Amino acid sequence: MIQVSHLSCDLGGRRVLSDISFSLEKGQLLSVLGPNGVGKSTLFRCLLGLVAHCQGTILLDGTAIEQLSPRQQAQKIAYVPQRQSVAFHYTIQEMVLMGTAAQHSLYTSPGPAQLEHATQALNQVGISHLATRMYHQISGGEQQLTLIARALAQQAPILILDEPVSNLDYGNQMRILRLMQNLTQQGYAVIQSTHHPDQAYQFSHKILALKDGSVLAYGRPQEVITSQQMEQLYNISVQVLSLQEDHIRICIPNPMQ
Amino acid sequence: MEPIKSRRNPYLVLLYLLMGLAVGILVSLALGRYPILPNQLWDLLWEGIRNSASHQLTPAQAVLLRVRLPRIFLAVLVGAALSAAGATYQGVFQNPMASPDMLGASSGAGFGAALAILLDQSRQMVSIWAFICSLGGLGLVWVISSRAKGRQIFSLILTGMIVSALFSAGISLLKLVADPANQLPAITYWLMGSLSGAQGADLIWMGGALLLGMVPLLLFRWQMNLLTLSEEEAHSIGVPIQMVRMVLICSATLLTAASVAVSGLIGWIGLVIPHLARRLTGDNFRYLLPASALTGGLFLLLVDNISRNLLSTEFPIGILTAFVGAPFFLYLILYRGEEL
Repeated sequence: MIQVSHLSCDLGGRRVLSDISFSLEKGQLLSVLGPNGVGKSTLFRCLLGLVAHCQGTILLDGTAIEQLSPRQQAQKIAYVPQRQSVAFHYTIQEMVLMGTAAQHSLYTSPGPAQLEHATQALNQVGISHLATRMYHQISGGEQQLTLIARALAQQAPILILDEPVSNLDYGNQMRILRLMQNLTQQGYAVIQSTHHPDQAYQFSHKILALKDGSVLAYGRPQEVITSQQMEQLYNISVQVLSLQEDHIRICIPNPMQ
Repeated sequence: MEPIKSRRNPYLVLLYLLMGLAVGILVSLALGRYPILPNQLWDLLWEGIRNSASHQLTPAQAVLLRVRLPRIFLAVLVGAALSAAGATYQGVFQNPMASPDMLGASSGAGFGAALAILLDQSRQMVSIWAFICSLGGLGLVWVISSRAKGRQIFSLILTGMIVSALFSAGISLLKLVADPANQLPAITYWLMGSLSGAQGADLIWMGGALLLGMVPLLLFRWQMNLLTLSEEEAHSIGVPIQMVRMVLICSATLLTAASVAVSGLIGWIGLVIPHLARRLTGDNFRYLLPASALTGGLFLLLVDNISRNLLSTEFPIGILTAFVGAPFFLYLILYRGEEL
């Protein structure tokens, strides 16, 4: 589905990403872990074709990303940004309809087919009752669901989510994670960045741990979420506990010595 | 629980605006120093059009067809053009405070007109010079900002400010060397904006420019919604950002340039009217753009009626729009909770 090999990227004369390789199949969830400013956002920008001077290759369904027009790319890969304040106010339905831009021509508004996709996407994330509400008036969790619905309305098989649970309460974090798990089971390939190793362990098929722009660890959650690698990754002393026959692992910071 | 914002049917809003505009035009035809009763309008128009080929018009017919009609339609066209351009700029620059004179189009036109007046050109030539310098202003902004490093939006706004400042300085210089008896008042008066002396030729000009600029804006109006998102989002959704942005900016600037060329600098409309229209239809450009154009046409028509009927002499319309626009904007901010 998506295959990244030896990706390196320089921004402003500084090496931000170096030699990153990973791949993801249909129905898998990949979590990207790493301290702030490690290059997770740059990695996502590269995957979206927004960084002009990347070395290495990014293949979507076997096609190099630089050979795709914005439109073709949008039909393969959808992006859920972090929530941010908006200057213009749209209804939830209008927000979700915007995701269908690659399905209708540049000089028309979305038609009945696109409306159908938007309605379907709203149902998929369970917020069809909000359709006529204003985006800036709903809660943070509902906004996140709206942005996910917009990505689903785009009808692309790959989803990229930038810290989808950040600034959400505990219940909403779990709802979003369950939704991502659900989407993976429906066949989407999902990539998320996160600052929660426990959640990454519980919900991912693969984890990519980045430090200083390069890969510290990559593989199955059992191989990546270990106390040694978490200590290296975040530069703090961490103990990793295993619960429920290793279905769950919990990171506990050691008290200051 | 917050109250659910009740949404009016946007098509109904557009229909009401269209009807309001039609009524406004009819009423305006009857208004003026030469008394024409509303019930005479139809006959006068019909007879006038039939007689216009033979050039034998009664005074009433001449006033209606040669003076009032062009002026009324020009007011509607200019108001619609400036408002649509303002709404477009606000979307493209993701900034509700953007207005049509941001990219040097207005100050460029002012400079061109002042130069033409200084060179004793005809009224027609003043408009043409204003138009050319207005587009030249945008071209300058475009060329400079495309060489700038960093985000395109910011460099466009900054170069727009710089080019505007340069043209303003140029206008001051031209005023300094202008003949204070005739040219200086003419320049000053032109810069205040006016629709007086509108002719059929202006109308053809303006109508053509409106068609050329408005059609792309109407076609691309859903894309304007997408441009208000962040660049990452718009790109990932599949919008060819650079191309859409260029089409929208060029069309909006064409509308601004043509308006300024025929009517001088009429401020505030491009900033205030989109905000008023937003209260009627919401922020979705699919409805907001046509609503802005219709509201703007109606607004400038009303203000021009005041301008030509209030005093025994003509009152510059640019001053009136500022007197009406600024307090109205203040009202929106203070009492209607307008979020900027």
